[in-house]
Amino acid sequence: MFNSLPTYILRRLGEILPLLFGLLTVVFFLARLMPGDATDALISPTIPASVREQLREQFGLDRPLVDQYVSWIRSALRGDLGVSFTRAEPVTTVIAGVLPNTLVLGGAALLIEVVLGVLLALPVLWLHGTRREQLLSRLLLGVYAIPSFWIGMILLMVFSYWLGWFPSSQMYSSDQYGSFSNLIAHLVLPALTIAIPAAAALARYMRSSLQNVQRQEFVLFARSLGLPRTKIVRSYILPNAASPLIALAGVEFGVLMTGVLVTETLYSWPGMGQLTVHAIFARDYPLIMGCVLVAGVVVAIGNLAADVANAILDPRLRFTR
Amino acid sequence: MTRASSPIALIGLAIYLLLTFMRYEVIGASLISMATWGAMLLVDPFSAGEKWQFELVEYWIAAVIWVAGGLHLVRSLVRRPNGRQRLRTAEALLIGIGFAALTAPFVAPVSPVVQGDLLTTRLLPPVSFGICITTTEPLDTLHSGGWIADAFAASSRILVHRSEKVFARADGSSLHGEGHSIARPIVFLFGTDDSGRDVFSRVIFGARVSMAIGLAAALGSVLIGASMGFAAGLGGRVLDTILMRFTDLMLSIPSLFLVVGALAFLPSSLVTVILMLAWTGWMGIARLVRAEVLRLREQEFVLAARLLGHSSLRILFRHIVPHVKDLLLTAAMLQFAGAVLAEASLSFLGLGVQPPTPSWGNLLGQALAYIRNGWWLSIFPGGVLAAVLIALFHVAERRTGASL
Repeated sequence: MFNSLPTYILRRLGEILPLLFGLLTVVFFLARLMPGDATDALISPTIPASVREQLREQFGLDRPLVDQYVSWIRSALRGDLGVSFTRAEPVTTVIAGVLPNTLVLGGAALLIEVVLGVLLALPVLWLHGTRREQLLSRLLLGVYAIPSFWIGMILLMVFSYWLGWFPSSQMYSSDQYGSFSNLIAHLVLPALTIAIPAAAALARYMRSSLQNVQRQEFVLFARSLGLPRTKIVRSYILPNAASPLIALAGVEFGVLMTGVLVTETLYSWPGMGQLTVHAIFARDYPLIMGCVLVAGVVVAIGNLAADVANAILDPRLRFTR
Repeated sequence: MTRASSPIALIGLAIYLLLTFMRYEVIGASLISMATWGAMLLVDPFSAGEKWQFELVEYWIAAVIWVAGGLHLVRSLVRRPNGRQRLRTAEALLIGIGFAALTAPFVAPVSPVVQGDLLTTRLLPPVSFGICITTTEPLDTLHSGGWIADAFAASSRILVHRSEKVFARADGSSLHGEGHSIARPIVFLFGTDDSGRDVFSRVIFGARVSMAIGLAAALGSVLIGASMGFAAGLGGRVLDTILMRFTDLMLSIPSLFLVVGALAFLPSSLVTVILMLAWTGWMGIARLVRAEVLRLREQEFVLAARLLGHSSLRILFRHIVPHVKDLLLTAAMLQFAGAVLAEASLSFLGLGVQPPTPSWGNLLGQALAYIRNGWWLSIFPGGVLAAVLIALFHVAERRTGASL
């Protein structure tokens, strides 16, 4: 059946809910993997057993597992993820404070990735079948395989320490807090670090998509009309080849979030990745759970956004199976 | 036709012979200790068991692989290769690094944890020259267990009871050691780190750790993924739905976040890292196998087998698994690359392999502090890691013959 756009979006939202539920469950059991419980990790072993019991009671750790699970789900749905041990603030407040920074970084990386990816893919249209095209393809695979944090280290070494073009860490210089140009300068290297391997992956997909579209009959028709090549590429090939690009950009959200983890640590970018790593070293369990959960939600929303964008561009996709 | 594999294999042979010449003492001691221990085991099992040392096994395995690898290399040079055997650069690189990882005690000039003389060998740039002083503990008593036992004692002493110290070349005159000391020149091919340790040795021993973890994790992922895929593809609609929903769920969580989160809650050990990497890498394989099984299930030869009344297990193992095998091998290769990368990321963050045990990831993590005045610390380990990953992807792509 054919869905109108709002119905399609609603249906996709309906699919997200069980996913969210599953995510909450996974995170809950993740925390139960720990031998013993949070009190073992936080309290010195010399503390008397009675105090420990009292704390267990206070945290609700003495209640049956099902009870804990239900109350975790219930409070999580209300937006209450507990209180961070190290910051003495609600986990949601802490995460909300840094999430925008990560989204800025992720957005910039995505932008660079798409532009770079498309630019690297376009040569296939006129190099098709030549040796140079093969070389480019190998090069793209090579770049795709390079670990992004190593790229980051090299960028840092060359452009920050040797050439001194870009700052090496943080979001703003201490004296220029809030200045936009300063933010861009700080953004370039981390965004490139995430974007370079991702752009290679995207270019590889885009290439096969472009090749497919190029073989379609309407392209042949446009060519037979004698339209100039740039016009054919711009108005006929690119719009039709864009669909897998958007789908991939949705999937790329997961890759971006993973990249963020390492890249933010590398560049001391005050975002989710750095927060997670800090939380782990500080054994801040509620914060760790919150971070994993939010990362999952961000990826789910990214996928949803990509699907919706695709459905807007290509009404055929709104058909249900 | 000329032999296509010649140049790469010749370079390999040259390096092999050079290393054999340079490290003949350790290689010889390993072979002798293995042979004499074997002889003792035949003559007097009880005393052989008494003298067995666990540390020797590493050298014995390395020695066996060293000899076997050398024989294979020579044979491949002598024999005219047919088309299938032609060695490509990517494969040669992987084989070479794998071989170096297995025979790390011979390939690495010094042990990866040997600290240099801090004043002179700290942060030396690549291709610096140095001297390694090997001090062997003096033989406590003269054994009278026959020449076999004596040879074993002498050779295993060289392998186990020795201490090494590394100096920069200029410093060589002021050396003294107790017992039996031998000085040999070494080259810090990749420079030295902040503790004066040889980076090349650490990269070689790191290869061992990183690749072992990657291999184990990839194997685990393939096992889980394949069983999930087979179960979903053959187990009927309900099971299929449940398993695939679960797969989707696992896919929707950024895997590194999940691993990192889990490692925070679990006791940190190599086994935990391997298990977590295996557990977060199976989803793609499960989907791949399921799709393939669904396709194969409708093929005529499967229908024929079913009509013949074969049990579903027999159909699975005789008719479906052979068709999926090749796909699985390629998937395993990519999974191996993914696991090596994930391990590197984890150790880079300080959550995976803990120093002083070297792994490619924690070498890079440690290099971060010296990015300004020790470029070789990040370039070389990362370069080897990147080379391995690139080679793996190229080999995998050639196998599939299409895009990933």
